[in-house]
Amino acid sequence: MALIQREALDREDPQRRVPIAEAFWWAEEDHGLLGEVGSYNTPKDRHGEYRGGTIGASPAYSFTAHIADLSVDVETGVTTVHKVWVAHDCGQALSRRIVEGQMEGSVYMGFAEAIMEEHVVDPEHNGEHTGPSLLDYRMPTFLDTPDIEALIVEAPDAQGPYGAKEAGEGPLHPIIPAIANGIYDAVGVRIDRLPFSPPRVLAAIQAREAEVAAGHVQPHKTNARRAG
Amino acid sequence: MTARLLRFSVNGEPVTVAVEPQRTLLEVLRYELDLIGSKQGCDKGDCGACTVQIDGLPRLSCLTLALAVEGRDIQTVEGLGRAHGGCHPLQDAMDRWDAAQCGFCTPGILMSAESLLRRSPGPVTRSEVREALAGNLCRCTGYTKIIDAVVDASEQMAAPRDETEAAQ
Amino acid sequence: MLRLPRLDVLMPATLDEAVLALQSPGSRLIAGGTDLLPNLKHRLESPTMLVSLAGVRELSTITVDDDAQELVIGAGATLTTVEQCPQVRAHAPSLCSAAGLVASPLIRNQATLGGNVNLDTRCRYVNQTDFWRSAIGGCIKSEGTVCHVVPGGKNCVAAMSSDCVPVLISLGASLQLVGPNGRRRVAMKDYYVADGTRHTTREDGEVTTAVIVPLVSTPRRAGYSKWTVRGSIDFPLTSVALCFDLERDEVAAPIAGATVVVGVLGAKPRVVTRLDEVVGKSLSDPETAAIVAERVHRQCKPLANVPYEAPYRRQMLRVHTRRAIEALVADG
Repeated sequence: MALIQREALDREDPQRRVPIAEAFWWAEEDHGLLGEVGSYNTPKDRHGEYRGGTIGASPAYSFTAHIADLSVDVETGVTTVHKVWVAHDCGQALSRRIVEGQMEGSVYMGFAEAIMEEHVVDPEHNGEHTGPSLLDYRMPTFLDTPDIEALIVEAPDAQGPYGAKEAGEGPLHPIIPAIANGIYDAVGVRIDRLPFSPPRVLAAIQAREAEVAAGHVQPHKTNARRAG
Repeated sequence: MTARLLRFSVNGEPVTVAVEPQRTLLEVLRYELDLIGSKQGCDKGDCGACTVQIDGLPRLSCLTLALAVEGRDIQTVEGLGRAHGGCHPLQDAMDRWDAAQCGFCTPGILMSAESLLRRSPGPVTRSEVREALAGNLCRCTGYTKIIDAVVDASEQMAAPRDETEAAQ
Repeated sequence: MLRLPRLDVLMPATLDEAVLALQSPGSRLIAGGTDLLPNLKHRLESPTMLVSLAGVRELSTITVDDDAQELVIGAGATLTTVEQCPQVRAHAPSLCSAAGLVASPLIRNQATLGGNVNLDTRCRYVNQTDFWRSAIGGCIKSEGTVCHVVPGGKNCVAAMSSDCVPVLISLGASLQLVGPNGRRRVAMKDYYVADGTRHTTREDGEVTTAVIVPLVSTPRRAGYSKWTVRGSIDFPLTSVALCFDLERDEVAAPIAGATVVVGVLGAKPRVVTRLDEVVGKSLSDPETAAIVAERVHRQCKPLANVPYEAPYRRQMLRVHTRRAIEALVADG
């Protein structure tokens, strides 16, 4: 039987079909409430020998790699991320679209931290939060978010439920260093503080240009190419 | 302040409701009419979760005085599937693409997206979707699956595919 | 959840009824409401009655007056309407650009041009909840007596943050106002004053009924540059409107007149002066862009009233001005 377009139909004879609601009605009449309960516990023997080390120790770790395609505007310090490829080893993917959605959402959140989001308290104004609303705490909109391509890598883990590892937080982390490395590749500056905001990136570019002018460092490849 | 009678239409049904003048349309929909699909997010126009259509245009119900919709036609997410036997093609597509995670932004996104599909018949491009939904924030999805779903729904509506065939 | 304070709402059907209603004490005009309602939810004003223009249909028309050679935009036209109107596109394309860059599509479907030219000034220490403001004791624009932007300052420097205002001033636009004493017209360059607590010369009982843009028969290139962090929703952090009248209809032609207006500084938009030096130069001459950018940079000093470092924004004014002129040249 297949459930398609709000109808339950016989796969052998697709002309035999009823509305889904009716199919569930019949099923509940025959079998009672349709439901299933399940749970998964992490293996007991996996934990660190330290205080708190026994809490939810994971039997396996996920692995992620990100590639960010970006450009840096050397006059404004604005970093524009065009596209991100995220490859994530989640073990066995139980629902591919949902795993992809977790990966894409993680890229979004990490990208947002890298480019614009920031919790700042202002010590000169009684520690007020400078971004207390969705206007002043800037989250990327549909127009700011890069294209994201999620690539699932399946390496099932025997200890995980149905072979799964995880696909929640793991795919977030590498996007920040990927963007930082992209900025370095583009303009030769290392930014080690979040976010990589335009004033911060521009200040680093200008500081590097001053170093180049003083003969302390070599021009970055981009600068060299432009000069040539 | 004394409550006043307000008459307007919600999802094609005429309603009459007594409202205090300082109430927003969102408050009347959620707390007087029990239409809790439209969400109260930032409550000041920064997130788009409260988006409804007023005379066919997507607007922010948190920044609309209830009394200002006297005689107007309001569409909320609850009425979206009415003409489609329960689910609008956009809702089906959001389901197929798993484009809702926590789901809080989904009703607002649907109301903005439906307006886009009505204004531009035929398949829409990803950049058209980005422009049309630029006032709706989503924290979970990274927007990717939402764009996929809206483009897919626009293609479905332009040339309906028979999913029964596809399933076999 | 942000609640509106208790108040009454009047829904007049005509302009005359609205003007009459505005004469009662404590009444306040509301059009689209996208600026006023957040401010009321933040308890920045305390009117007892809102007079809504939502039912006044006569304010929404856009017409070209051929006799007077004017484009007349009803103050009730939404920013979406202004952005998409073929007549506005034909006669004032830079206004279409600015209207289309305001906030988000949802706000533009609701906000009116009349509301946008009267947008209240904004400041990071003002446009917050009353709870947030109470931690710093408010300021001269809210409940307090001090300025958090300019220490020791007595004058409010909250920023004029409308995208359309700099463009309209650059096009020589004026406003039609109707009040209990009749009708008056004021040039937009004279409409704004350098006081963030009350930055326009509109009287309490007056309604902005139309924005009037003079038509020109001579060749012109005009543009608008907005920079902000996000591609949508945000108010501008730098805002520059440019208008060049040319001797011939090509970008290589000599400039006959130049107007540049900058917003998001203090409460009053700044009309950049001493642009005579570029008159007679070609618009496409790179020196023109350099000179105008230099004048903007020298005369405009952003303050810490909106997010992002003021020195950075000042530096960016130079870059964005130059790029806006380069974009006009590239468009041909």
